[in-house]
Amino acid sequence: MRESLLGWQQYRYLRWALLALVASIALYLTQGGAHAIQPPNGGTWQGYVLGTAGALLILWLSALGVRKRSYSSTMGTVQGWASAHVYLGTLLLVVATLHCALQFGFNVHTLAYVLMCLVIVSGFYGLYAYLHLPGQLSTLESGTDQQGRLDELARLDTRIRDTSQRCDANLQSLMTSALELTSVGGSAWQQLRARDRSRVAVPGSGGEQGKVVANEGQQLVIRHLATRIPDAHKQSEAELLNELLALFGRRQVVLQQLRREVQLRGLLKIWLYFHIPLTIGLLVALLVHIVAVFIYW
Amino acid sequence: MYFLVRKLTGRGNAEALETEYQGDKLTLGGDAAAMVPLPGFSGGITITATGSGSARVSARQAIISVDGAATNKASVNVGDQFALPGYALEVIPPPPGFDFALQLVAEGKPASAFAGDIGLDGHTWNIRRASWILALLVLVVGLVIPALGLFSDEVADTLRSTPLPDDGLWSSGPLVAAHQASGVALECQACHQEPFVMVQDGACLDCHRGINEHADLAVHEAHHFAEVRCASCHREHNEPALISRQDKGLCVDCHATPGDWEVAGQPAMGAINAFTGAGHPEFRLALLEPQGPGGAHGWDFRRVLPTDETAREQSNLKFNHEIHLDASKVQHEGTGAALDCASCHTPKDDGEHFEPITMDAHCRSCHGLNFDMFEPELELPHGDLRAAIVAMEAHFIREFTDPELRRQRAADKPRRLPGKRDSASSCEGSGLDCGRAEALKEAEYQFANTGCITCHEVLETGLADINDRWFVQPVKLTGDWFPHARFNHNSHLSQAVDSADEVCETCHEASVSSTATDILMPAMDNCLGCHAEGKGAAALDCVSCHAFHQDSGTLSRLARDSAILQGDTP
Repeated sequence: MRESLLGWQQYRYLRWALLALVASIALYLTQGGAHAIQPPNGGTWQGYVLGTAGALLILWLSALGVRKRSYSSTMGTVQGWASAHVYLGTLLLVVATLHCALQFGFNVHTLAYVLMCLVIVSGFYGLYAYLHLPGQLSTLESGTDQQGRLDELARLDTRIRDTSQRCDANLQSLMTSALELTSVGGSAWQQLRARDRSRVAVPGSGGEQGKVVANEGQQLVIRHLATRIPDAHKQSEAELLNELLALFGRRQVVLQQLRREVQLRGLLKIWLYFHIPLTIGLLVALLVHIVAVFIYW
Repeated sequence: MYFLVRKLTGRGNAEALETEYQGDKLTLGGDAAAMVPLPGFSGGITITATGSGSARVSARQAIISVDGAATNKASVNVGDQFALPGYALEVIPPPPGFDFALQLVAEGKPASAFAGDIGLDGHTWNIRRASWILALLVLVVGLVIPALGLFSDEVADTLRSTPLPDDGLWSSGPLVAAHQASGVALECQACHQEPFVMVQDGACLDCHRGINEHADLAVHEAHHFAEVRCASCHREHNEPALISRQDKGLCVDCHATPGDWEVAGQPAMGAINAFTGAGHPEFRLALLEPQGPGGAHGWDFRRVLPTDETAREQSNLKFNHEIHLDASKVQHEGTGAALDCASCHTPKDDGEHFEPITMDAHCRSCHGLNFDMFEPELELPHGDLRAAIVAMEAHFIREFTDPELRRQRAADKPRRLPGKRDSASSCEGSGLDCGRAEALKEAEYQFANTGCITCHEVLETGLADINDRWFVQPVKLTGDWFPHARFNHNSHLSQAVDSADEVCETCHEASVSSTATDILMPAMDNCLGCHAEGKGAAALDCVSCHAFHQDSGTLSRLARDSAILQGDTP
């Protein structure tokens, strides 16, 4: 993945981008100075050239979204486009900065710049995610996948329910609530944090009302089962508890993998929720920037 | 109150777990605070018992489903069934000791309790909708609302005076301080009068009414300047950069090749490429010269080179800088200290020119105009020949016609005054004749020997009448040697180490000048030493010394407002 995206065609687009970068900086340096008509900015002819280049880059970079969906297109490979997208997107940051010559203010021009920076920064995160997370995900998913894990979890839960019927009412209630109050995922933030928010209802005893407490990593149930085993009066009871302990142990592992998987898939995808709307916002801000400049020419 | 909740395990064998609760009300929900946990359920409901097994059920949202209709409030009785997302509930007869009893069964597979929670879809904003919202927001706030002001000044004012977005959002940078004025700073249309049209010169000249064109369009062809807009040289919204073009090209683009635009019959201008010895013509002084004898036809400037040794100033003043700066010969009247340049030369506020030197302020303390040794405190009026003669006649006639004064004058032994005429102490004849004779003698002495003639050129006409016999040539000092350049004496005086005079002397060699006809103005070499192109920080642009807009000539307001620039002569 790393080689194919960044190093596509012997770093063809890195070389292009570096060339354009040097040209942009050289162009920028020809403006300004103590004897210029005006300081470096978007209004000099160099500024117009850099601005036009930047606007065309933005349009082309946005077109990746279209090209990606055109499966029948023969206009370069998607991989080549993605490689160019990364390098030319980074180049855009420099070109636009040189275009505005670091003149910022509370106006639509700086708005376009800020949106562009946000798009590029979210893109940098996306690049990081695409380079590093799929490897972790495929290691995690060796042998099974999300649906397989959900199926295994359903099987485990059925066996726990069946087995717990042979226990006393308190223990059965504890087991059932541990199953019911298990939490995986949730809101986007919870999916990305992957913190185990599972709980369990501990039945009341001796007139005390039952209460719901945290059951992170199924620890409370496992600890409870483990402490009950030495106190078992009968061999059959000990075996039953042992079986339940094994089932919850496996459940703990499966849940942990499931949460990590949900987290990785979320981290792989979440940046697009920013990158794409911000890109659309940037395209409109670019239009507003250009129109505003020429309304008050 | 006591509540009983019977929870079916949902395994088809009617097995149930019963739990008792005590409190004012019973809460069921997905969050940790609820008394009865409902996994996978995001809301919460509250049940208040109303007696005989009945209760009121309420929720924040309409999630309570009674007979297929969703509501957020319901009254339930024994035997009633209702549903929450993922759960079916039934009100059952409360056992003795209980106020309310509820049977609860979870619907669907246990795994599905969180199957919907393991993907971002549905848990974040919709990408398409977010894109639309952001795009519309940017368009409306950044363009549509501010643009409403283009159609009506009232709307524009309203937008600017409220927190609504206005055309200030289109500004590409701050204005120069001078333009931070009411009527200009916030009113974009003060300059940007037509949308999609570059700022027109008229917008600038509405306020800057006194600005002149660079060249007199009565002399030079106007079309040379037709394509030069005010904004070609004055770029706004670039603060803190200067608003005026400073570069050499402003001048040398045209002045490097004067042949391209010179007008026959007008004084030729040298080619200018840079402020260097080779790239800039030698300075030319504007030397004031009399036209006709004694300036009878007025005075006019003649352009002379400062290096021209034959050029002399003809100011009609007699003055010797060398003597006046010699401490052994001339001292300050009060302090006895030597004179320095500033004793007579006071810079004006512009730092370039000097306050006029006057008899009263600078000369009279030493060069008094007393004319009667018997009354040495009495002085002639200065600057009016006729008044001086009248004063002398009146004085002497009065002295010789008044017997008392005449006797006193004859009796007093006059004190000899150096450089003064010995007055006649007695006279035979009428008072009028004696007075007139004495006045004539004194006038002769003043005009021809030692008074006026000390400093002035006096023409003796040879006429008999005392009033016509002498003519004092008026003094005409050149006040502005370089009328087309600017110079700041004050900034140069900041280099003074011990005395300011050292700085003055580097350009004006007054201490060795013994006559007022010497021209003490420097040549270009004096400036090039520090200010030539390539001299670093002290190197000067053309506009450091020369103004682009001329003091006189064609008013830009008229030229640019009319067809003049299209070729008509003004």
